[in-house]
Amino acid sequence: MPEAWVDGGFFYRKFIFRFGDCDSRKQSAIHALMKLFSELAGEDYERRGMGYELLRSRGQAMLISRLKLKFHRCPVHMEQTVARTWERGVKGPYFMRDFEQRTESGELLVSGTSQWFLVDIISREVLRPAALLAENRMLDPLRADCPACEKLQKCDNLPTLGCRPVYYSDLDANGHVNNAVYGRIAMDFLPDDLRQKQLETFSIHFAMETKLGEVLELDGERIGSTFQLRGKAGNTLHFGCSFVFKD
Amino acid sequence: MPDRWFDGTYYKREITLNYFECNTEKRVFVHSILGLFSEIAGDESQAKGRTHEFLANYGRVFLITRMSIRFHRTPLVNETLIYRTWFRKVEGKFYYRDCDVRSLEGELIASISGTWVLIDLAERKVLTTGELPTADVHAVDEAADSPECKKVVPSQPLPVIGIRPVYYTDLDCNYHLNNAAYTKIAVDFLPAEYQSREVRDYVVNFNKETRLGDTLEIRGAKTEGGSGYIIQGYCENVLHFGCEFLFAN
Repeated sequence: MPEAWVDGGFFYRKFIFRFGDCDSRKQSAIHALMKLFSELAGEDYERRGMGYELLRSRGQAMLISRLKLKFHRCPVHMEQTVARTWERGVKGPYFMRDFEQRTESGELLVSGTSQWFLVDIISREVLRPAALLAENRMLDPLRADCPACEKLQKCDNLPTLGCRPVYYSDLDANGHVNNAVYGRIAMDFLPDDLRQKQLETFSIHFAMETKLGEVLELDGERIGSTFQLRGKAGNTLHFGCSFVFKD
Repeated sequence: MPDRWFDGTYYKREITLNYFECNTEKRVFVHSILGLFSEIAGDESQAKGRTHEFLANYGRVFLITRMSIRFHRTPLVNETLIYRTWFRKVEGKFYYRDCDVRSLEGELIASISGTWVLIDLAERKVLTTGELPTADVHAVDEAADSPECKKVVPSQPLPVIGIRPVYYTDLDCNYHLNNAAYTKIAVDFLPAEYQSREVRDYVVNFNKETRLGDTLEIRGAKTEGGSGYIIQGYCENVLHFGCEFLFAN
């Protein structure tokens, strides 16, 4: 089996979770999954001739808006897996992209769905999907076994959990906090007893870019079987996420 | 072709750098390239049966004590690199491992060295090399063109430049700060004018394990002559790590 391959609209890559990708329980960390799925999306666009550099030369960038993950079983350290992604379609301003990660024998581990949008890199204005000049779209309508991305639940007056300055290594080539770093920050501020529980779903909404020099205030609270967490800078919401745990 | 293989002498792995492993200038982070080295060293041990579980069952674990790297050129995002690593020697209680990183065309991009010790998991005591519960490891007498894994000692005490709490995601399966996290922290606390400069040589010492709940006091200053920068991390006045950057420009 090759390391990466294409089958119709699907892009596949073999992946092993390394030591640094796992938490202290030797299970894949959320931020490592977010990193993997974003990398796959980027590689899928690259192979279809719509990569980062080409978009940048056109004054465009593709940014992620929402991501939802469903955990069937959390991958573990050194587990041999195969991840795949495909673009499912377009809805309003959003490009819908799904993900799956399976063992080499086909057991479904994690499935995910996401919404992306195209922006003008100077004005940060959201562009119409038609502005993505692409011949080779290769959409596939298959839906991953994951609930749809949802709007953030309105939660006012959540207790403050702490503050987190933005560090230089949080930034990516877009000059803002990389999307996987928000997953890392969310885990860092989750109460310790919840970190030991198995996740059912994790969803995150990226509301606003965060830059070097900003300090995120993390607010959060357990509400039923979920933990709602919000990251704000000043009074502006930058991201929000919800963890739903298995019993 | 698989992305990792043992050619009979060297363990090799092919890696393509992605945006997450690179800074805003699209150059690889020092912590990313070193983190990959330690992961690949672990891969080779795993492939040869010296898994983390196997050693842990004997109450043993390998911990890295020092690393050094020389960049012959700084690789950029989307570059594909071939890591080639080998176990070089045992000296005293230290296991020496070297590595070179080349382009697909064979250009030497970086040379890396690291030293490891075997420790008793319960007592956290350094063991002799004779206490490794496997057959002797085959050594290759070849040194990478990397700086010496020297002890980082500033010429005078360094001023405090910040504090850094330990976050949960800094930890690895050994319940302590992952070795790559120290260099990441050091890069984060470099003054801004140094963060975008290209690194020529870098050495890091891991002096003491750091755990959740610890807060590192970060100390740092330019080296004499100004071509480098030293960063140290202390916890309650105990040195946990120290590192030295030498810049290319």
